[in-house]
Amino acid sequence: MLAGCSADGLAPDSGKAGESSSSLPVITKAVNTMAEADRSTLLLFLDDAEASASEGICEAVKATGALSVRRAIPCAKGKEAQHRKYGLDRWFVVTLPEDADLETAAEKFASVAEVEKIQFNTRMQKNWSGTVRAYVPTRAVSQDMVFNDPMLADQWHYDNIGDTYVSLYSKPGADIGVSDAWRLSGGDSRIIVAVVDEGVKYTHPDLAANMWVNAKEISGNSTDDDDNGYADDIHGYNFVSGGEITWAKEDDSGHGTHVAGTVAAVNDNGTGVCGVAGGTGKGDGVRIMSCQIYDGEEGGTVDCTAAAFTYAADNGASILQCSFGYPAGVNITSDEMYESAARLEVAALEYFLDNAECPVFEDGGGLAIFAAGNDGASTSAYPAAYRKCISVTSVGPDMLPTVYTNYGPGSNIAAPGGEIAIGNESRAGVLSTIPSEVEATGSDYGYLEGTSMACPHVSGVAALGLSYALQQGLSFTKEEFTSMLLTSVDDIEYYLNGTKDYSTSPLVLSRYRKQMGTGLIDTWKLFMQIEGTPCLTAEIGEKTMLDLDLYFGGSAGNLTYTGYEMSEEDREALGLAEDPELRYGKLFLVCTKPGAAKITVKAIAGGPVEGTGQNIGGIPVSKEISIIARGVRSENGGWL
Amino acid sequence: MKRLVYYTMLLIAAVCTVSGCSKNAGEESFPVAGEWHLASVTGLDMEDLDVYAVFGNDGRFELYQKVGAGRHWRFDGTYSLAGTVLSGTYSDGTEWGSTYEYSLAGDGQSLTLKALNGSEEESLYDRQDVPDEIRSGAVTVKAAGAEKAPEPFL
Repeated sequence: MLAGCSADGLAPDSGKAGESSSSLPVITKAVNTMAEADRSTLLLFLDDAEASASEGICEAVKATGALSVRRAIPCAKGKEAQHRKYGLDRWFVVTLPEDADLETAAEKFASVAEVEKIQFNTRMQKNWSGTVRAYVPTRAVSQDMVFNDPMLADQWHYDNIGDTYVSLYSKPGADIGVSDAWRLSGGDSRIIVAVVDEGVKYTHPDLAANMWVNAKEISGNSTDDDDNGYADDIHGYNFVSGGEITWAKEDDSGHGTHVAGTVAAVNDNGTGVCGVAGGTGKGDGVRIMSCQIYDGEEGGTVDCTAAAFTYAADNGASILQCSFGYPAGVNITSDEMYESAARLEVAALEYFLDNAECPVFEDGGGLAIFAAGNDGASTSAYPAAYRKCISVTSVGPDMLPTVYTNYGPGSNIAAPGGEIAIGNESRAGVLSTIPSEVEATGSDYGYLEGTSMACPHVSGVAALGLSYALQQGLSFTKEEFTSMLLTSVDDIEYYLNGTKDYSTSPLVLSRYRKQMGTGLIDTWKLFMQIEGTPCLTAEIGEKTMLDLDLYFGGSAGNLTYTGYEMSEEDREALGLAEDPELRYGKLFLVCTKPGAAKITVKAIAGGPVEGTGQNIGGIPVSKEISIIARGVRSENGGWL
Repeated sequence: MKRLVYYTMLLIAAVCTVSGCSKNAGEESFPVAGEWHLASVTGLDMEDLDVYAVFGNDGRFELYQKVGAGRHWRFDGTYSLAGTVLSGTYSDGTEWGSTYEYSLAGDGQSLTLKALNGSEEESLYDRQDVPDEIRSGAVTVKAAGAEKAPEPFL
């Protein structure tokens, strides 16, 4: 995981301007404190977009020696009204001179009548210090593998056969179940994933063909040809420097390129690794848009992140892939606190969630997928924990939680993130693309571990699912698709007994029960849900117990169910003798006549309570279950 | 000669008694052998149902069923006949939901299966081959493992 500003940096205002739990000075109108803030910039939320030229602002600029006041989110042609709706046009970045006193400057701007709020430009400092581990070949790609990429056999996170060359503790099935799904679809170039991270090496031999290309932009002419607010944004944008996308500066780790490779390294090209949604070798991989918010030792500030989210929405991305966040459970303990203290970031996030133009969603919008964090904490980090984001926890090749993963409230789903220490050499890490410039031996591939690596597996599966839906001519609401994604899982609860004593720190596994999200993501199950889930069969005259695994995934028995809805017409169709019951992930029915009906069952994806804003909670999911009542029922679902 | 005929008849009678006149794998004739398409079933609308049953002459069966949404799922296993009673077991060890009394009509073009579990459910099948696209596109249900629920695969 990349990120983490200190807790003080996001001290919430609890609804009262400037109030914070830290000992830092309270600035009127400030929504957060200046700890961990960029000292050379300040964010203003004005009462009117035109107020940046007001007399009061001009006076404050003069008094502080400010170098500029610019819009935080550049104007994009055709998007003005949408930006206004989310107040994005009213956020401004004040650039201060190097020797400026941030507190004095903030007080000066706070005294201006047109300034409604001040937000210190919190710097999400990189806490990623991991070194890329060199690729160690394990076994040759075999003929029965779907693609010919030579390193696919070593990507246990896609297809784990329990190979002890990876780890003595490898367990078959501790993977994302993508191999069979690839026979149906490898991706679709109409689906774009915004990798909000370090810059992606867009010239990488295993990524170049799947990079998003802004066809309306002319490279290198320093002109915003397509009027989207950015010049020369061919494969995305460097929101830190405003210049070219970079990946090989000092302090760059290759993180963005590694994440991108997991989502969409080019498949079946006879080279390197596979990506989850990297296509079938026919130019049909999903596209990677590089939204660079870290640039060497620079970046990670709120203005960069907010601009990246908005850019992704305005330029066609369906998914925000975000392997960064704040430290878990330190200071933000509810969505309301997050919304209050990180206003610009949240406004841009909401903008993406609502206004991205995912071609599969009937109601528009996009998905924001975040890493849960690597603090080993019993709560997910923010923004992942935010109830509108999907928070991804990490398991190793042993199907068990990794030593570093956050878990608990706010965690929605698990994916392989690797755990190098339990492996044979480095093989238990996640193998993906790396910029050769940052890899010690100059290789284009290497291993990393973290929820940062688990997260792009979910982003990749989501992108692959959207691709398949698109190719099948199917559309869904965002809520429907999110429900399918979060319930396409294999059970991991079964394994959470005893102690994982071979980790660098022993893990008491019972602590993770029902805390890792809905289960381990499974691509095949998502595809089957996209195609449509078969009816469950109830036997007439008997109290029938219906297993909900097909609809709620392998951990259905461990989810918290919040209720069901069934119309009178549907009850009548089955001649229900009594109200249905939901217990232990099973649905109990007594049908008295043959017929078919539907019942909508509601559950919580991740934890026992739904996120309400005042807490850290799970994402509500609902599934419409088809039931057929007949005189014969076999236990395995067979017709005879 | 009369004795030979007598002993032959005794032998046939003995075989019928032991086997209940069932047709075992390897025998040449299973009256229900063939490919069948479900045409109707008691009390159910066929709109969301598409079921093919394939009974082999080797005592094996296959089902290609689409019950509601999604693609066809393939099940298989073994079946046996005892008189007019049909029973079977899926390859994962699950017994059929009922045994059935079968009857053929229309010069063998129509098969009726009447459930013998007390439900009186009656299903009518027409002789019809399984379309190739259904065979090739169906997902097979794996046998249940000790740790994981059955999963489909291509």
